[in-house]
Amino acid sequence: MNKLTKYIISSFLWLLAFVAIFLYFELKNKYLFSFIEQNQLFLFDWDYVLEKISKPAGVSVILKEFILQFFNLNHFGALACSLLLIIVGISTQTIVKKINPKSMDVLLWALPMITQLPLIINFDYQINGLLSYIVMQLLFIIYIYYFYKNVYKLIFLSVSSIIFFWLFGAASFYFVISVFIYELFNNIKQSIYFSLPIILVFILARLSVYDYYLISNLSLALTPEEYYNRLLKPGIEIYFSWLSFPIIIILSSIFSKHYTNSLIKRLLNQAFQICLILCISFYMFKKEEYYTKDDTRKFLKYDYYLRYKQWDNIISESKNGVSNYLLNYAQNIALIEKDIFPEKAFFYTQKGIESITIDWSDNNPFIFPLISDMYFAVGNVSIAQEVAFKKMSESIAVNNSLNPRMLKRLIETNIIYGGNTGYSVANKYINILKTTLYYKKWAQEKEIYLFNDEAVNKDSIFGALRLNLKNIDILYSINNNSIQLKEMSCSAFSKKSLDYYCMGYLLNTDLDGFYKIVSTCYGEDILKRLPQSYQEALLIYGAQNKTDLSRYNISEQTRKRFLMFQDFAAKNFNRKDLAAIMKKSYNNTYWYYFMFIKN
Amino acid sequence: MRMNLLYIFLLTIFFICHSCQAEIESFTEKEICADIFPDYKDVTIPINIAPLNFTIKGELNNSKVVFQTKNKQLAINSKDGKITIPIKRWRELIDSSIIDDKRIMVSVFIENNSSWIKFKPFFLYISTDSIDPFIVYRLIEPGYESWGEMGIYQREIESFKEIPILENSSTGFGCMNCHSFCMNNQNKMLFHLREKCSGTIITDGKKIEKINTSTKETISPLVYPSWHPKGKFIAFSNNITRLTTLSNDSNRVEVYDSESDVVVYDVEKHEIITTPHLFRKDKLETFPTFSADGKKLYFCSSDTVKMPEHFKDAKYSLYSIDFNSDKATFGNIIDTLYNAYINKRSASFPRVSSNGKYLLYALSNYGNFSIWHNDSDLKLIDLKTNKDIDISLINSSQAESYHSWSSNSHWIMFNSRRNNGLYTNIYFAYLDDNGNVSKPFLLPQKNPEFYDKFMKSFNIPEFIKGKINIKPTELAEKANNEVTKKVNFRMITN
Repeated sequence: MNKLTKYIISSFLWLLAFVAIFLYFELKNKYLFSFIEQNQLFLFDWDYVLEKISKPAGVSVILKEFILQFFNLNHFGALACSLLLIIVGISTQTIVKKINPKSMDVLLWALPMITQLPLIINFDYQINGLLSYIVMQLLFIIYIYYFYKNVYKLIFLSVSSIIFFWLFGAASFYFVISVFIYELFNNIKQSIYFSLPIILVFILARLSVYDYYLISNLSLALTPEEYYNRLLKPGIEIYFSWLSFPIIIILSSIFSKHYTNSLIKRLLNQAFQICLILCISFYMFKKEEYYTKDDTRKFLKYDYYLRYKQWDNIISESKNGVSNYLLNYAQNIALIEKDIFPEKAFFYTQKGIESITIDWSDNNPFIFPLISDMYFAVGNVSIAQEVAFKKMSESIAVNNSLNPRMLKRLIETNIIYGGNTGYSVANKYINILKTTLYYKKWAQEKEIYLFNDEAVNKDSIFGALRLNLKNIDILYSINNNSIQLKEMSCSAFSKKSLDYYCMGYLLNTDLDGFYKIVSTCYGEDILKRLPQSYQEALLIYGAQNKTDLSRYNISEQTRKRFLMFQDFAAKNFNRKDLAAIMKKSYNNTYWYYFMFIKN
Repeated sequence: MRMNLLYIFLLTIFFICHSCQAEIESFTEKEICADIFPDYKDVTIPINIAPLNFTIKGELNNSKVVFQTKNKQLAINSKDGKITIPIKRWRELIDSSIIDDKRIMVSVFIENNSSWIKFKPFFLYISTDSIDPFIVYRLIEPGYESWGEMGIYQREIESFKEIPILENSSTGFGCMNCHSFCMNNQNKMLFHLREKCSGTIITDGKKIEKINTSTKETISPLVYPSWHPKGKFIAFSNNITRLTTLSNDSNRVEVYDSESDVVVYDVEKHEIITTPHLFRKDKLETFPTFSADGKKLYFCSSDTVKMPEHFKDAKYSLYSIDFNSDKATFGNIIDTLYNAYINKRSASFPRVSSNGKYLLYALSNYGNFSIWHNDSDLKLIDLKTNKDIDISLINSSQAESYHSWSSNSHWIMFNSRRNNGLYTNIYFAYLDDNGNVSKPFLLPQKNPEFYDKFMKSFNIPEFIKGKINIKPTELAEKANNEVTKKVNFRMITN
């Protein structure tokens, strides 16, 4: 086979690999990229850039944030990551071919790629890890292809490793170790000199940690922990992926010395390598199980829909049920936003009060955007603001970067609060978003509200939420009583706030608490008409407490249906399959939930 | 020919450079001062402060600022309103002003439609009373009870150099707080670690100790500290502190104590001592602080109220009790300096100046965590006469809260939220020998637009007389180790 043919076949195979990876990302991980993007922010601001590059690995961070801002565009994230992975593969092939020109070792070419791919799906692994890996490979290629004399090699290695450390961080350490290993196998007599750059990088790392306090510990300076969520401990697969590069150098060097002409042996070798690729792939994906399981993927999808207010998509996805509390929670946000929550809640999965409240006393930042969306939807601005702020603190701690989604929420909540503090803080955040590519326009649109109570009060969302601040105070006051409840003013959000409050009782099957609220508020402006589920709940309450429900205008159809429900349940009480039988006719009622799901 | 061209070239360069620095010959004068941020107009500054870089507000093309003393002039040109003063030129300016009338005149020019406007000049007044060369503060988001990244830092006052003392990325992202120094001595420091690597770190020179300050007699580990001037004792509070979010209040959150007491820790004996006067169950005692001679212990106290429902009813008075450091005993008489029952407001954070002349404290409508109260202001008492001194000049419509004294008692450093009501910044104000206070100024930064984008608050600012030389890695190593020392408790009943 001539060179051209080999080149064409190779290119075709890489193209196939690119398409396969791209399709994998698009079909299985479409919503991952938007999820990653929301935790970082690139600012077109020199002070911000200079501040980042004044520390080791700063350039890799800038590059990461610059690329990530485009992850909001459809397909860009999948395209970019696929391309980067293919570059890893081609670079590895180039390196292996130089060490072992007769190499057809698929495993070696593919190893870094297949170990890095699952890390991309792990949204706690930072993309600048992959970027640094590629730069490390490119430097290695330059080193082995263009430098022959030891003295020039050493000069290039020393200078490039220093610069590389400053620009890209810990990857520099792997670079110099890989070069040393290469020299050990290919130039053993002189190899000792090539340990000097390792010492150099180590010294740089120590200086950065112990003398100049630029990095908080040596692990961050010398290991792939640098490229991982700082609040978490990375799994062993992260280290394995990075160690794969020096391992390739070792194996290529060994194989180059043990080349066989036997076709059968070579074919067996290839088969063995492919099996090994599959095993390693399986191992890596198993390690990243959390990030690849269906529930996680679905959560990313729901999170995307929430972020872009695609309520109908969430509701449509939830028609056949949801598997966990987070998805249930997101589903209910959509129902609330569509103003159909009390009417339609029991047409969809409900799992108790946890369907609308998440215990966030452990301050788990992962769920804060969800919680902020819920409380914003139900008109509780203070909690929406609180969790948005906490999430942004976490983004700063993890990525040393702002969270645009939460920043937008904080702008909204601060505008709603108004006053000198609210407007001043909103102004500060707006000025930050104005230096971005993607959020600039949104930020500029919000400027009209600054220090302009009239504009805020006229706005259908901001004005209504501002009016609702007092309602929330009343509703959640420890001492709230019937007089105070009647003082709740009617606004676009007062009904949602009250519905959220009442539905909490219903989902918790606390009918006493529910009745107390409804009996106080019914007939007032905030509760002129009872939604279907309230009527159904009242009928249970009335049956249990022999209460006169005549003032509540419960429809005749609902009353009749309740009687039928009671009658059937009473007659078939002893049947073990009672729930299954009644499901068909009553699945979308509060009665069914009360009797079979919650209890 | 070549030489002629070279001369022409050099002359051209000369004229270009000269034209950049040329005097503005014609301008319209305005009767008002320029709108600048930070507002450094007519402030009094120490001789050893870093340059007061600032921005001229508004959409600007060209601007020029001229700093002038009798013998020196410094002109800074800018195309975007950002005025950044070279440190060396700033020093020269300050030095020349000292010889002269101890002030620098600042003239601001802006270009508007090809003509220049000159604003009314303002002054920077130079005090020969220097300020301590370093300050220490914590950087943390002004958020709720949880946190992300935080750290305690030291900042050199003469420059913009900021060095971490310890960052929580080295201690599992736990909380660190309440750093405190004995008589501004950087070699005698303490701070607490919470949540992760819990304990209290106390340094004495190169010696670092980590102690567990919980005892079964006290309601919590030790909290707000105050060193005895001799360094043998540290007064602390014990607090059960909670935070609640307010849904419809100009104060975003309320932080309150449901229980609190005051104790004194013996550094050498590792023993907590107290007296029933400071340990009452029907009172909330907190914020202890020693007098300059160590013979008195000031503290705040309120009646206990049902929390959180009645948090607005908690009003703290300011008291003092005698303390004998030789015998480690307390007096029996409680003196009142500020009576919350009569005055209907609440005192917090009392601090006595190093010369013993003054006591500075924060006053708000209720409660004790005054940084979250917009109405919180600083108040000053002359301890000789027990009379209030008017320092309204340093207060604003937003919260002024935590504060500290320089070692020469001439500079007050305090936290204020006056910029936007949320992010806490550090301000300095000069107090002369007659008790007159000057207009406060914001801690200068290298980038004049720093505060526009900075997303953290400056917390618990403290002066120190020199640089802390213990490395962050040494502190982190100790912090990550298990506690080796526990403390005992002893109630003193005279």
